[in-house]
Amino acid sequence: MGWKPLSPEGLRSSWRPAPWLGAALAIILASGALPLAWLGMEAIGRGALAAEALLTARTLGLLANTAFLGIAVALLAGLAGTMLAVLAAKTDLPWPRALGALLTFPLFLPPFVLALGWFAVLGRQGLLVQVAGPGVGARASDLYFGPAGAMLVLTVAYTPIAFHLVRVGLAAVDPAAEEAARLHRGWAHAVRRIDLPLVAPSIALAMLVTFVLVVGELGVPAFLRYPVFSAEVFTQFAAFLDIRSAVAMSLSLSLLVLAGLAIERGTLRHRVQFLPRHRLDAGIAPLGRWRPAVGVAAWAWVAVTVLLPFAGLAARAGGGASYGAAFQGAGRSIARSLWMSAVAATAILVFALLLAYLVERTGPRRRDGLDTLFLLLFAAPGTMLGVGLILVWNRAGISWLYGSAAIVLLGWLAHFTPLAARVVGVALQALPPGLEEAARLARASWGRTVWRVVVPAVRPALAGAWLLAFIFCLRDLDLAITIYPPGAETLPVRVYTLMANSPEPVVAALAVLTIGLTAAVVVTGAAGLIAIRRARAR
Amino acid sequence: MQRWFSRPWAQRIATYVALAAWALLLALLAAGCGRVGEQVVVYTSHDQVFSEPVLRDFEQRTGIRVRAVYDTEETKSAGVALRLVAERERPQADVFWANEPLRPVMLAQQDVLAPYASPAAAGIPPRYRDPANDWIGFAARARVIVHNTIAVPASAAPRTVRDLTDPRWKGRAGLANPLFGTTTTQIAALWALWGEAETKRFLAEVKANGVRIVSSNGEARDLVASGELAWAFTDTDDANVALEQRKPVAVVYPDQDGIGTLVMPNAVALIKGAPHPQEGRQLIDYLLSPAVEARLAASSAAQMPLHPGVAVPAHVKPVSAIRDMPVTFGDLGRTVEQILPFLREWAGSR
Repeated sequence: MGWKPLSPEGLRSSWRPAPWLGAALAIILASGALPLAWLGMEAIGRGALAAEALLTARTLGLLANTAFLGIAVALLAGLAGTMLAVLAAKTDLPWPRALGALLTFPLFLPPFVLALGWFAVLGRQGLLVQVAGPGVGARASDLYFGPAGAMLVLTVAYTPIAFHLVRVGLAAVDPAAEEAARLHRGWAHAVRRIDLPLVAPSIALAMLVTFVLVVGELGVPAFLRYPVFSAEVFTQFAAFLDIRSAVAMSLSLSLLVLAGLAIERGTLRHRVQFLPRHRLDAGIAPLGRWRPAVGVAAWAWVAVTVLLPFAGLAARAGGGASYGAAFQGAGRSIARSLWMSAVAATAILVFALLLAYLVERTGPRRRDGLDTLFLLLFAAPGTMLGVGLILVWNRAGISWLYGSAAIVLLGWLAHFTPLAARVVGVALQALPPGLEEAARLARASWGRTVWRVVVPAVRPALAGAWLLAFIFCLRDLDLAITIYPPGAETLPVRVYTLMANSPEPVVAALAVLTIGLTAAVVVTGAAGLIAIRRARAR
Repeated sequence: MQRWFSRPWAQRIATYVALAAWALLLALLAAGCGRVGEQVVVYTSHDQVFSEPVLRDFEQRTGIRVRAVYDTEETKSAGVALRLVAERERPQADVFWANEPLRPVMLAQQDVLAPYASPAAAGIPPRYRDPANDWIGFAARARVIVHNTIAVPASAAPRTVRDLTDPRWKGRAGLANPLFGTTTTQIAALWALWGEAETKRFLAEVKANGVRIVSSNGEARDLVASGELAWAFTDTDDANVALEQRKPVAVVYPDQDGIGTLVMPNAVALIKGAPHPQEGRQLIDYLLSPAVEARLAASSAAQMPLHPGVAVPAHVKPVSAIRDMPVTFGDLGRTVEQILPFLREWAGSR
């Protein structure tokens, strides 16, 4: 691949990454790119129609709204997530792990459930009315239903992405480099001139991922009545049952995504050079007399943005009867969601490691091409990818694939591996290639080197990537609802389809159950990881 | 160095255990997929909260396993209708249970449905079924006005669809997105009755009057119940849910002195090339039975039976007591492709 032979011995060694990396790439392409290419072929002939439709004032306005929402949320979530990550990872902020865990909660939920939570707070019968009176409540409700509400909900939903990616990036920074800057000019200077430039790729990645997710979002803008372009694509699908036109229209969303990628790539991705890491203990900046004030501010942010909507949902859910009704019949969906997400996240992790290696350890031209392709897979609307999967995989002789949960796993593998690969890729950028070169000189095989050198070195990023993939699979709605096998719906699909005409308390209870179950799994997993780490340290 | 790279026994065992776990999981998955026996696959856009108990009951009565894909136009998913179109070359579903007849009419135009003259449909009036038996209606809903009883007393409540253009309701009335669900059917019915020019003029006035377009009938109902809107159009099942929850709302059957109220049945259809056609027909027969109509009438859906003589609770208005809009669903389906592009412009330019 991008490696040059170091010696004749090296050539004779079992350093053969190509079959592994090639196979991983082929599987991802067959899972995701093939269905999308199939749809593209179907849509040929409608391109002119889509271009014509795009040039109307209304569709250009919708595209402008979409771009505005995407940029605004990416900036706000990037800023909030970075600030909170720096505070949690680099200072003696009180209870940083608890803060991080709470901050992650909104990411567990499909955004439309979060919008319901905020409606329970800001609606005309919400918590705010009870506290501040109907006048304030009416104004808040008017403000909520519009771009401000969409920005609020989506910023809260996606701040955890920036928070976690930046925190992983900060964990890879060598404290020795910080110390030199700190001794010279103090902690503020070290954070500004050492940490932030080094985690710039993580910040850029977080903003790009957020932008992509917001641009493809339909549920929240639809609920809050903010017109966006994804609604136009959806209309072609659902109202006109016109798959070809919908695909043609969605090409313009891809252009927005490519624009976002170009900005990320042009401004940040190639500038940063990671320094070799000499020390492993993290440097912590003391907040000193500012600690109480900063702690209160950070926790107030979490309380207002995270706990408040959940309190609204819990208040709306009421007593145990709602939870009993919500749990009735949902047990299988819950179990199915958990095991499917766990299996998918594990498979995604394997492919993410291989693809990240392929992207980061090959030449820049190939890297950019693959990276762009992967991002488009992630950015493809779930509905569109689902329809492509149906067209490609609904065939005689392989009904075991399309007619089972395997089709959902395949879809998730294609959709979310690129995201996990980017997370692992950031860590690989920080890993000095010298380690692998040393292993190769020692005639270690490529597989063994990856297993014994690369994996231990990027373990925090792998854990983060697994968690991210697990969460994205667990909360996925668009793709799962398009292809889930009959009689085997996941929890978000069940919540979504039960929302219509179910009693409000039951819907709210279902949302609370979703949060609680996911939190339980994540907390259990995190506790297990910490226990293993401590046992190894002993 | 060589020793450093050598893999310890523990790690080897862990690797084998992980591989075995994966193999076991895949075997379980395959076993689950290969499960055979009598089964029927139904795709339904009827609200899950209402349809799931009916399907479970069929399962218990017949022993035929029901595998359902649920959907609802209210939550605006891409929809089972889209999935039926995408699977057209190799259908997975046996039965489509739609919550209104317009989608089955569109699917019949796309050659997705197969005719089935169910014997259980005897007694259902011809106007609620397709002449070629591509779909058959049952258990109807009506398109009604729901108003907030605090903001609008009964004496001042709107009585006609024309009230959407009345200046006294400027900015206070609501309508679900006309591109989806039963609002499409309602506009198509007006188009059929009034003609293109009159309907376009009416919709322009609706827009000028600041009628709020919301995402679904359920949201329209909720906004009325919470007082954010004075009144809105919705369906009887949506309205009944609010009434059961003792929300401050009341229902008006519009235009009883004029063009009538739109009555829309559920519709059930057999899928062309269905993998389990025999079981599919059994399910259709069951859904079209008077017993299911009685059950849906007694449920929170409060749906109106189409079979004559089916007993209904006091709060469910019999179809015979409603002045029904004189439209044919087949005709509405044929004009909908003409209407939808206009509605997209109309709804999108608000």
